[in-house]
Amino acid sequence: MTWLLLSFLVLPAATGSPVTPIDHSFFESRVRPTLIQHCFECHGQKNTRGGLRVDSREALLKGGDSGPALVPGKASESPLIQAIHRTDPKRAMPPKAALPSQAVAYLEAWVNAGAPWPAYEPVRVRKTGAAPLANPLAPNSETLAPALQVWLKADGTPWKNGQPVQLWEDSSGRGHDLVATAGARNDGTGTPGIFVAKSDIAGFPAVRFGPTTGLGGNAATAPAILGDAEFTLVLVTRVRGTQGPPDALLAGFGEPSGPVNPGKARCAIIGINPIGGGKLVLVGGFGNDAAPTRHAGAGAPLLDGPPVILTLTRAKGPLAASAQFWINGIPQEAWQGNAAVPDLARRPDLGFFMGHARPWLRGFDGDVAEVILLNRQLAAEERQGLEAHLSAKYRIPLTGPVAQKSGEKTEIGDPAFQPKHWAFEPVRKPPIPDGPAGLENPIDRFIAAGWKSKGLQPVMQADTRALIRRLHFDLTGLPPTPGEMEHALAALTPWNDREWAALIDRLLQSLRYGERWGRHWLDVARYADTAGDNADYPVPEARRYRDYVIDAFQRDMPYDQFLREQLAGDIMAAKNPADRYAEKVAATGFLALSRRYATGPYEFWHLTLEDTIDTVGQAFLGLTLKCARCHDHKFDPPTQNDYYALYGIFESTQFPWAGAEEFQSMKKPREHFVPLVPADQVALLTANQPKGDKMVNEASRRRGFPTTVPLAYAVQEGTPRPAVLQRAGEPDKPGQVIDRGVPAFLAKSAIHIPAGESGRMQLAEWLVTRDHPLTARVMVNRIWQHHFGKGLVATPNNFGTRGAPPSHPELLDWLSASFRENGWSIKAMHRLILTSKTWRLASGGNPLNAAIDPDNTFLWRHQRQRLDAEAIRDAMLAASGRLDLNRPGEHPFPPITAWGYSQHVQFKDFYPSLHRSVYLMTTRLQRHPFLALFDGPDTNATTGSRTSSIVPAQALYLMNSPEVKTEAEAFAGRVLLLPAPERLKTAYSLAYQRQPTGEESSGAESFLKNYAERAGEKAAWTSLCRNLLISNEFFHLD
Amino acid sequence: MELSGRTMDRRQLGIASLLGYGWTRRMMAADLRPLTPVAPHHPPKANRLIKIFLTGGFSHVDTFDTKPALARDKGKIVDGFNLRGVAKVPLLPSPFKFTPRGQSGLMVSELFPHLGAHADDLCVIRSMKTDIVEHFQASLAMHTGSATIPLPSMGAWLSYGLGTQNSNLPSYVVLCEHLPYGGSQVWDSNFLPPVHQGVRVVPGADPIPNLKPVVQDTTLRALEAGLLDDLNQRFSGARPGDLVLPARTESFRTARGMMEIAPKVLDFSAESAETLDAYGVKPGDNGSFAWQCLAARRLAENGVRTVEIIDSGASNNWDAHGNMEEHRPKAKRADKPLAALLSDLKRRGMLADTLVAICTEFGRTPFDAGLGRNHWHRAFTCLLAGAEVKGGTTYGVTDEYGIDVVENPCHVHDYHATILHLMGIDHERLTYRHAGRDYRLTDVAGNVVKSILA
Repeated sequence: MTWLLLSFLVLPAATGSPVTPIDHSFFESRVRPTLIQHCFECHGQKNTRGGLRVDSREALLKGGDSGPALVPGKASESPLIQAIHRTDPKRAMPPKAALPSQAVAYLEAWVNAGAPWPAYEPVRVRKTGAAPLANPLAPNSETLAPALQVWLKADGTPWKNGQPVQLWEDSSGRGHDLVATAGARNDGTGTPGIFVAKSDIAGFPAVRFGPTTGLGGNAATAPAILGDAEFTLVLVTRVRGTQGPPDALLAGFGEPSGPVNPGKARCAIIGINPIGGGKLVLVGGFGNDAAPTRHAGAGAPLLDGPPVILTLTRAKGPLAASAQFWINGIPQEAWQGNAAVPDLARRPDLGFFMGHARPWLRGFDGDVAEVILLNRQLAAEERQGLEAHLSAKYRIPLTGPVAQKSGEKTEIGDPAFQPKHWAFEPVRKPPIPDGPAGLENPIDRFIAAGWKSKGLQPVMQADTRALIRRLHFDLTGLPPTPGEMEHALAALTPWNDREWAALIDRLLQSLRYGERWGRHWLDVARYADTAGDNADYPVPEARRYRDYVIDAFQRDMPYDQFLREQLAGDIMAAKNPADRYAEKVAATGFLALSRRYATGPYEFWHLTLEDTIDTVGQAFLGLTLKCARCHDHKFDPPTQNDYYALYGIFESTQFPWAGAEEFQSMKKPREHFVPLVPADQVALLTANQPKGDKMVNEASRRRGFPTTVPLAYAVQEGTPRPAVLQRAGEPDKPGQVIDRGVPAFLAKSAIHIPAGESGRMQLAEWLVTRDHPLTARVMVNRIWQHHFGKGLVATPNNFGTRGAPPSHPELLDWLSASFRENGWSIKAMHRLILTSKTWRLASGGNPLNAAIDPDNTFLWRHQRQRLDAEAIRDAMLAASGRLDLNRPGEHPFPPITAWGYSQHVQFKDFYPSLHRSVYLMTTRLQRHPFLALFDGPDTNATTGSRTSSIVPAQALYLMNSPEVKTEAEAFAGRVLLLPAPERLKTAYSLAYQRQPTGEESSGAESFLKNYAERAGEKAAWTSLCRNLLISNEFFHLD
Repeated sequence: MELSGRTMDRRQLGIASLLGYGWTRRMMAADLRPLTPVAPHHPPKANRLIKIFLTGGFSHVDTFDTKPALARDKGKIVDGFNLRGVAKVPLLPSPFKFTPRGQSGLMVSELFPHLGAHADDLCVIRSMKTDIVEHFQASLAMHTGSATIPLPSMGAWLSYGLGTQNSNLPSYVVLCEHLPYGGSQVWDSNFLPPVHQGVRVVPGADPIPNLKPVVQDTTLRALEAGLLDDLNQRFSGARPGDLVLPARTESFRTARGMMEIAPKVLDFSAESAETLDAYGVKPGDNGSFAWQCLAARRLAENGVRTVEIIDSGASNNWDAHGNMEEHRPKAKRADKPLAALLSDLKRRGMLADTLVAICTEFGRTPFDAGLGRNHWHRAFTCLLAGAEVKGGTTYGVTDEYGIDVVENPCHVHDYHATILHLMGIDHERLTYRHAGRDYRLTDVAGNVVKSILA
C-alpha cells in the first residue's frame, strides 16, 4: 500500500528531467546505483567512515558521528543532500569529485519523496561492477606475439578423427613445427600421436599421446631457447594414469641422455611422477659436469584429474629455483633442488620436444589441445590474461586468484533485510483449520477460514446442470452429450458426494481427459510443430512429445517421474531399455522444442539455450531466470553464475537441428534426431531400408536416418563441459568458466555430476528432492489454476518477488505437501479439488461480497470463465457432429525431399482438420489464425496463463468466417433430420446442454418463421444454429 | 494479474483498491475497452503514423546518400565483410545519377524523381544502424526493436499507449500483400493485449478477413443481429455484475460497425479522378502499391493510429544482390504513389500532424565484385516526413564511401524513440510488465534525435 501511495509522487519538473514517479524502479535504477557506486566504499559494510553507513534507510536515519544523515521529505535539511551539493567544502561528498548533477537531482527528489527504500530486498549479495576477470589475452595478441615461439593448436586443423599426427604445424608463424619421429630422437622408437576430434578436454579436439608418442623439432625448426634462457610454457592437457615408475616425460628442451653416457646429457625436462598421483617433476642440470638432477615432484597431482591449464615459467638462473608453475591459475609449491643451470647450448638443434624421447624414457599418457611457448617470463597480468583466454576457450575453470576477484563491490543489504521470500522457504504442512460439520474437505476448511476473516458469505452451490457442464469442460474440454447430461442429472442430487465422485472418476478415465490436461502442459512447454528458425522448418517428429504428454496425463504418471523424463528421459531409457524406451526418449522433446534462430545449424545458440533455461525455470521452478543471462537478476536471487551453471548443463546436451535455410541452400541434412529404439535395433531397422531407391535414399539423407528408423525431436547426452560466462550476455565477451550446477540460493549443496554426463539427470533429481521449496508448489498451483481460472498464486510462471503473493499460503503449502504424500498424483489432486464444496459454488454475484472482495480472491463464488480457444472449436465441432475423436497420425507436411524453405520462402502452411484442437499443427513464425484469435498459447515462449480477450476481430470471425459457417450448416443439418418438435430442444441441448424455456422457444419460433419466409427453412435453422454457437452462453461456463 | 505500465491504469488501480467496488467496476470497464484514447505523455506533433517498410533493404548509396567518391575510387579494394567473414572487395559506384532537389538542394537519385520533388519535406537520416545483418532479424528489429526474440510491434505499442480514434476500425492496420521476413511476428502484439496487434489488410478483393457478411440480405442480417443480441442479453441479464458479458455483446456491435465502415474506407469511388491519377490508381485496381498508399491515407484519415505498408514481402523485393538495376522497377512502383501520398496529406492539411516514416531493413554494401550489393547494417538511410519534422535536411554523416557512420549515429532504437516522441510518448515510460520485468519498445537504449524536430 505504501508503494501505491508513493507512486503518486513525482519528480518536480524543476529538476529538468521528465516527470518520473518515485517508485521502486526509480530507487533501483536511479538511487541505489548511485549509492553503491559513489558511497558504499567508505560508508558500507566494510568501512564506516564517520560512523556512517548509507546502505539502508535505517542506517541513514541513525546517521553517523554527527547525527542523522537523512530527514525524510526534507532534502534541504538532510546532511546527505547538503554534502552532495558541496556547499560546505569541509563536508562535501564524495570527497574526490562531485556527483553528476542528474544524480544529485535524483537523490534530492528521492529524499523529498520520503526516501522510500524498498523494505523487501531479497538479494543477499548484490554484485556490482563488471566482472574484474583479467582481460583475456590471446597468444597472438600484440603483447605476446613478439615472444611467441611455438603455438600448437589441435582445433582448426584439417585432421580427421583417429588420424596419426605426423606433423604438428606451428601457428606462431615462425615455422617451429614438431614432427612425429623427431620425438624419438635418433633412436627411432617413437610413434605419432593420434588426433581425436572430441578429446577428454571437455570434448575439444586434441592430440592423444601414449607412452611411445613423441613429437620434436630439428635444426631447422627448433626455437632458440637455450642455456639458461627465460621461457614460459603453457599446456592445455589432461593426463591419464601411468603405471609405476619411472617418470613419464611431458615435454622438454635439448637432448636427454641416459646415465650410461652422462657426458652427453644436456637438457631440461618436465615429467610426471606416477607415484603420489602424478606430481610435476623437473629434471635438469645436466651441465658440463654431467650430473643429472632430479627435482622432487611438486604441486597438485595431475593424473586422471580434470583437464588443466599448466603454466611453467623460468627466469634466468638455477633451474629449480628459477622455475615456477601454476595449475589453472593457482600457484604451486616450488621445486626443491640444487643450483644447477642446464646447459642447452651444446645441442641447439634439438630444441623443444614433447612426450617420448628415448627408448628408456617413456612418454606421458594423455591429450594435449594446445601448447604455447614464449621466450620470456610473462608478467603476472600477461600470464593471467593468457590463462583467462585458455580458460574461456577450453571451459576450464580458473580457480586461482584471478577468478576469486569477481564481485569487487558487494552490497550487503539493509539491516532490516529479510532474506526470506515465502516461495524459497520449505513447504510445511500446516494444520487444517477447524470448521463446521459438513466441511470435511480440507480445501473447504482453508477457504472458509478466509471467508470468515474477510466477513464474506459464500454463495450457494451451483445448480446441478451447470455443475455437470462445468465438470465436463473442466476435465475433458468438451460439453456433455445430451445422453451424458441426462444420465448425470438423474444420478446427482445436491451435495451427493458419492455420485459426484463417481462422475469425476468416470471423466478422469475418459480419453478426453489426457487431451484436455495435456494441452495445459503443452502451453507451459511452448509446444509447436516447427522449429522457429528464419524459415520455420517443419518438425514432423514433434508430435511424439505432444502424444507423450497427453498419455502421461491420461495414465496419471506421477509428476516427479514426468519431470525427470522430460529433462533426462534419454538417460533413463539408456539405463533400462526394456522399459518404455520410446516414450522416455520422446519426453525430452520438452528441451528439444527450444526455439531456434537464424539460417544455419545451431546459430545464435545462446538464445536457444536461453529459451531452454527460461522454460525450465518458469515451468518447474516458477522463476524467470533469463534476466540472469546478462546480469544478476535484479529482483530475485538468481545470479549470472546460476544462469551459466545451468547453461553448462544444456550446453553439454546434444540438441537436434531440424533444418533451416541452409538445409535448403547448402543441402545440409538434419542432425541429431534421436531414434525411438535402442542402438542395436537401429541397425536392424537400417537393414530393412529398401535399397537403391533414389527418393528413399534422398529422404534418408535429409532425415539424418533411414526412413525405416522412427525418430523423435529429442535430446541426448553431448560433450560434457562447463560453461563460459558471457559478459553482458554477449557470447563474444567470454568471462570466467562456471562449473555446472543448480541455482546456489536454492541448493543446500552443490549437485555432483559424474564424469561423462551432462548433469540433466542430477538437475531433475534435485528438482524433485523432498525438501525442494518450489517444484510441488508450482505444479499444485497450475492444477488449481485450471480448475478455478486463477491460481492461488496468480502468476503461475513467476513465484519470485515480482510475482503475486499467494492468496492462501497455508492452503498452497497444505496442497503441496499432500501432492507429494500422494505420490505426486495429479488425478488425486483433481479429486481432492473437485469434491470440495468450494469448487461446486455457483458463479452468481453477491453485492455485499463484491464490495469486500471484488476480484473473488477469496473464492466466495466460482469464477465464470470463457471457454479457451481449443474448447470453443471442439465444442463447435461437437455440436455440428463433425468432431473426429481419434488421434491423428502425422501432420500432412510435404515430404522431406520437397522441403526447400528459406527466409524468402517460409513454411507457412496450416492444415484443416476435424480432430480435437490439441492436435492442430501449430507453427512459430505465424500464429495459428484461429488459436491466435481466441488467445491461444504463444508457441515461442512458455505460457503460464492465457489471457481472455474480447476483440471485434473475434466477432467478425464468428459471424462471417467460412469455418463457423460450415459448422453452423452441419449443426442445422443434424437438427433438421429430427422431427419438428425435437429440433429446438436438441439444438439447445447440443449448444447449451439445457432445454429452452417457453419464452425462448416462442422467440426462436418467431425468428425461424420470419427468417424462413425470406430465405427458407434450412437457411433459417443455419442462422439460428450459428447464433447459438457464437452466443455468450455457448462461450461461458457458469 | 500483472499490472500494466500505463500510468493511467496504475493510478486507477490504486484508487480502486482504496475506494472499493464502484471504482473497480469503472476500472474494469476501461480495461475491457482497452482502445479508449489515452492521454499522451506530452503534446504530440503527430496524431497518426504512416509507416512504409521497404523489404529486402534498399541501398543508401543509390538513393539518398550520394557518394561521388565511389565513382572516383571505383574498383579500389576495401575490407568488406559479409555474413560469414571478411573479404577484399572493390568499391562499386552507383549506376544512378544524383541531383539536388527542391529549395534545400537535397541530393536524391534518379530512382525517385517524384519523391525528390518533395525534398523540402523529407528528413533524410543517413546514419541508421542495426545489429544483425540478416533479413529476418533486421525486419524484426525495425518493427519490434528486438532482432532476435519476438516482442510487440511498434504499432502495437502505439495502440497500447494511445488507443484509437475510431472504435469502428482497428488501431493498427498493416497493408501487406506478401508476408515479410519474420512473418506476422512483425506486427504481432506479442505479450501486449491482442487487441493491439496489427490487422493485416491483404490488398485485393477481400482485404480484411471475415469482413464480408455471410448473409447478404440486409433484412436477414438485421434479424440475425436481433437474435444474437437477444440471446446474449438474456444470458448476461441473468448475471448482473459481470462486465465481461455485456462487453462481449458490445464487440458484435463494433464488428457490425466495422463491416459497415471499413469497406467504405477502402472504397475509393468518392476520390476525385485527379487524386486517383496523382497516385496512379487505375479503375478496378484493388491492390497496387498506389492503391495501398491511397488506402493508407484514407485509413489514417478515418482514425487508424498506425497504418503500415509493407512493400513486396519476403521475395522479389529490394534485395538487389545481383544487379543494382533491380532497384529501378521497385523504385518505379513506389516513387509516384509515395509522392502523391505526401502531396495529398499536405493538401488536406494532414501532413502537419501525420508522421510518414519510410524505412527498410538495412542498407547495401558500397562495395561488390559484381553489379549488385550485399546486406549492410553499419550504415543505411531511412526517411521521416510530416509532423513538423525539419524537411529538406539530412541527419548523420557516413564516410566518403558510405561504409560507416562518422557522425550522429542513429540506431534503430533511436529511430523508434524519435517516432514515439513525435507521437507524444516518452519511450522510457511506455512499459509493460511481462514475465517479471518491465518491457519497452527500445529495450534499455534509444535516444530521441532532437535536432531534426521543429
